Amino acid sequence: MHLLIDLDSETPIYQQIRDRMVEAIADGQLAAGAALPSTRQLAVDLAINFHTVNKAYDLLRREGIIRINRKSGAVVHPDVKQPTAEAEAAAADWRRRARTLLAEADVRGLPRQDVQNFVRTTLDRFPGRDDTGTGRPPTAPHPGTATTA
Amino acid sequence: MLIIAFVNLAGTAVVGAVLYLLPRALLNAATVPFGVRVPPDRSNAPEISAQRGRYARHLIAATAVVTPLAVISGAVLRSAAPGAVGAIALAATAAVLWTHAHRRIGHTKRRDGWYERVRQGVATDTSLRTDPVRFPWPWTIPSLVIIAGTTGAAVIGHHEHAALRTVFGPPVAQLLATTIAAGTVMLILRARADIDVTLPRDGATRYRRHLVRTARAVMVSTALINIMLLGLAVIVWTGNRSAWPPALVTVPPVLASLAVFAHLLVRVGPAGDRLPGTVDDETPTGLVRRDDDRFWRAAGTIYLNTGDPAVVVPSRTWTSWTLNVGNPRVLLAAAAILTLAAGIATVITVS
Repeated sequence: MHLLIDLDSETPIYQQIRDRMVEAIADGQLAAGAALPSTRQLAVDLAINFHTVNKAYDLLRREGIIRINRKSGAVVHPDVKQPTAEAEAAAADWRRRARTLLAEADVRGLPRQDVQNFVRTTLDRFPGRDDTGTGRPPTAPHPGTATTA
Repeated sequence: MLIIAFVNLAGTAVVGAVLYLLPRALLNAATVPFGVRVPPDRSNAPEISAQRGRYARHLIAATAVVTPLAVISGAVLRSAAPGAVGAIALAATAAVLWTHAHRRIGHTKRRDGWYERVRQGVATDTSLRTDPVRFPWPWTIPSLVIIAGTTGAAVIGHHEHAALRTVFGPPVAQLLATTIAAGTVMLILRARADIDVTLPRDGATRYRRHLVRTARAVMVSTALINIMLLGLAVIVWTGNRSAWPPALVTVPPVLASLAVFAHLLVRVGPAGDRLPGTVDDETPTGLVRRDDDRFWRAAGTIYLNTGDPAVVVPSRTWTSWTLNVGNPRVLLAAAAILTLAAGIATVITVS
């Protein structure tokens, strides 16, 4: 995955790392179980403090998105994109944040149709899911689901 | 007499030509003129063009003065020393001109706020760690074959009374050169990637190809150096005192090795900048590489950042890498190498 950090953003670097990794998993750039660089190596590659990467990985681990093993290192959690008890517990937090973003769109006067289209097309570009709510990967590509490189 | 004149002429003129090329776009990334980081849209700013012109004019003038002086004084003194002194004088002139240009561009950059209206960023490709560019083992085979051949020739052809150092010195030197080259390639493959933050997907693809080409070039160059050492070894073993054989076995491999690196400079470029692109549909991110001037000392040539965990980082000059001298591991390794070198020198001197 290509990890891009905006150093002039108001979003902290650790949060940007966490957000980009979540997006890469959803986009299919990082598959379930895929290996991630060690915290030290990622700190070297981004020329940032080791503790900043550690904070991002720790956040992802607490959210159940990655697993950190002493021997095999950090990997994407094998259960990502699957409905789990942890995901259900996190849903309330996600809804709160999503509501804030939608409220922001409303306050800024963005057309509702544009917002709905954006949500739909964004979700359609995330592979490896069906729309039934079971969370199981489809046996065949879903009609209308765009594939990503 | 003629040879001395040629050596003095070549010594100063070649050094002058190399120093002239040093700040040219051919040898540097466009966004670090004279070791100063600038945004891409400022890479041809009037101040930078003016400093490039000033450097070129003064260096050509210095070379035009020093070269005839070195040739004439060499002819009078019957010595090649004036050529060496001339080359050092040219290098010192280039250093002064470079530092002046570095300061002027840095001053203009700060005064006009070149980084005030741009967003800075960093980019990496995690697959460089999870699926790294592998060490080019097949490209070490030529060197290993040459070392085996040299060792075989040393064992079969050596005289009983010949010193072991004379007989086995060449294959040991070849082995040492190959080990150092392989170690350097391993360090390069693990070094921080220099990925264009404006087009990170394209930058990552170019950087990966750049790594592959550079690793292979280093191993090819090592094989050529090993051929040269084999040739020199044959001359020593056969006791040939003629002047031409050393030139014949030394010059072609050195020229071929230079051609390999010239190919890297001209066709591959810094971080693969000159390679043909493979990603056409990427939207620019709107970010530029971060301004890290405060970590570069000695007019942008030495990287010193105690807060950076990296050991090997992309260099600002040429298409290479450099060490982070602010990293304690680099300082410890340098101290260990110096101690080892001093120890070996002492043992050789005493024995």
